[in-house]
Amino acid sequence: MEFLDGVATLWTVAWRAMLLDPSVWHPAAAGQLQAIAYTIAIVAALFQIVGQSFILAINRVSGLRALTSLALGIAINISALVFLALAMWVAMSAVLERPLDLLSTLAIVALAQSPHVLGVFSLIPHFGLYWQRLLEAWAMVCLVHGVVVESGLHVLVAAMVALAGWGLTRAMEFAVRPALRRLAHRAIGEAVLRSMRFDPALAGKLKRRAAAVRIRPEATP
Amino acid sequence: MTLVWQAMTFGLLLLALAALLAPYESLAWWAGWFGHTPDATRPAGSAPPGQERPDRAEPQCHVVLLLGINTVSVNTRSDAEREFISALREALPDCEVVDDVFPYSPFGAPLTGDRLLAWLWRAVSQLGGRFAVGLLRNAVNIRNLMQFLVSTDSRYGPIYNFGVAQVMIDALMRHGYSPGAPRPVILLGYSGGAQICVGAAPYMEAAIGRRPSVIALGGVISADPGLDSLETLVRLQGGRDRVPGFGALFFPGLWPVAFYSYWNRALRAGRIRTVVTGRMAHTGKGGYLDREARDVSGRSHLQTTVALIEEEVRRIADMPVNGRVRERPHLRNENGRH
Repeated sequence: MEFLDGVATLWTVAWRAMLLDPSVWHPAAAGQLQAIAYTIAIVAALFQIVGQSFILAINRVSGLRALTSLALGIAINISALVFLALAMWVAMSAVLERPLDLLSTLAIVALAQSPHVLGVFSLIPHFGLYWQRLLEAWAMVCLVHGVVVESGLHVLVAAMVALAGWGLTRAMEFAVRPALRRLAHRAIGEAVLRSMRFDPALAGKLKRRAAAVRIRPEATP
Repeated sequence: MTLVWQAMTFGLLLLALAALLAPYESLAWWAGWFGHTPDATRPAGSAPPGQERPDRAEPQCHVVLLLGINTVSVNTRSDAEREFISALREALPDCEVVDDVFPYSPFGAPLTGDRLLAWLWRAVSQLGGRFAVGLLRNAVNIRNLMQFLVSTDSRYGPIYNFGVAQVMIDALMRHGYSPGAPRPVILLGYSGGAQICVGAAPYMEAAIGRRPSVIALGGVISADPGLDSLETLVRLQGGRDRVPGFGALFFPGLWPVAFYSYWNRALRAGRIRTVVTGRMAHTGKGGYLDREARDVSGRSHLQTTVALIEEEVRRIADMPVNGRVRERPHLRNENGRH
């Protein structure tokens, strides 16, 4: 029962955060609701790796290796959020010329992940891809709103701060991607499908596979 | 009102669940969970055991027919579809019409085959009564529509389309496709079947060593990478058929602003043509396969549709490989010029 109550509270807070409800954002900026905000970020990371569990399943990766890979996925997502919070904290403190509370910034960034709680629907064929983009945009809107609430900056300045943090995080991800790939390879082995996002290499692989059964005259019965 | 609202919510949840589960069949097939893995080891050029074609004269071309999303299996066709297929065979005696491909499964398993919900789909095809049949027919449409969306999805589509291409190649071999003297392969897709034809084209090209052509009858097609692997795409489009236009709303790659999409590049390269068939609707009364409705010349819609397909098949079969189709005055290009 307590668990269900917890789920209901989590969902209520996440939904209100998505709607930019001040009753959620102001307490979060004031250093309250931190536990719920972090839980939302972890749940959002979990939903974001649902696709990864599909990949593991169809590559016949199971047991400890699968769990390791999923845990790795969550850890990467959470690390990216922490990096984003750090980058934005530095940017906001520089603009305001005074240090802000780092934990509050972390809570704001975590709460801004609320739209990704609906990330499971990105598995829907075709429309899921657009849904994913919509959630990413929505999370960015939440992030900008969070910066406005926390720092009192003008919305345009807040948007620039959020974009700078987002850009730095993407650059960081790009820089460590080869190392992450090596790590993932060690965790799950050679995968047929590596990503649930568009993988141009896959079509090439399948074409080669189709060409391997290419119909040849000498093989006519 | 509350009841209506609850029913709508329940329906939407069911739809979302169906959509979430739709890619499962492709992914599980790829993983080998159904006991038969994607077969890359079958000897090239051989038909599956027991499915060899009896000796017949060499056909001039092969037309692989993929019907619309109302298909339950290749054995449960509507009267209109059966008439259409036999009229097509009559019109193209020198071509082999391959009509035994079920396109809404990556391994060609019909809905009434070896499946968990086969009993439901069997019941659908046997039920009497307008309401029940109508209701369950929509269930078939929704199920197959989800597979159509899987085909268009850049994540699941490659696997699904690869599977259907393999099923089509098997069917071609059963129907006497001769690797020694390859003839044109024309994929004829009705409604959602057209998308699957286009999606499977890259793998068909890789397997048979030449580009297939696609004739889309009221076809709903996305801006699929498969467009690059087509010799030509001919769209037969009825004046009262709103389905392809409605479908295009959901595929931004078809919009003119997507300048570099596969669709717009194929248009600019002249590989897509639209032929207006007259005032035909998508399906049912006044549809492409209606034998009662008549056009101004007095021909039935079915006769006109078959005649146009015949004309296009003969045009494609005669044209050189890698050649381009000549423009004709009564054809309408995608940009609206006549």
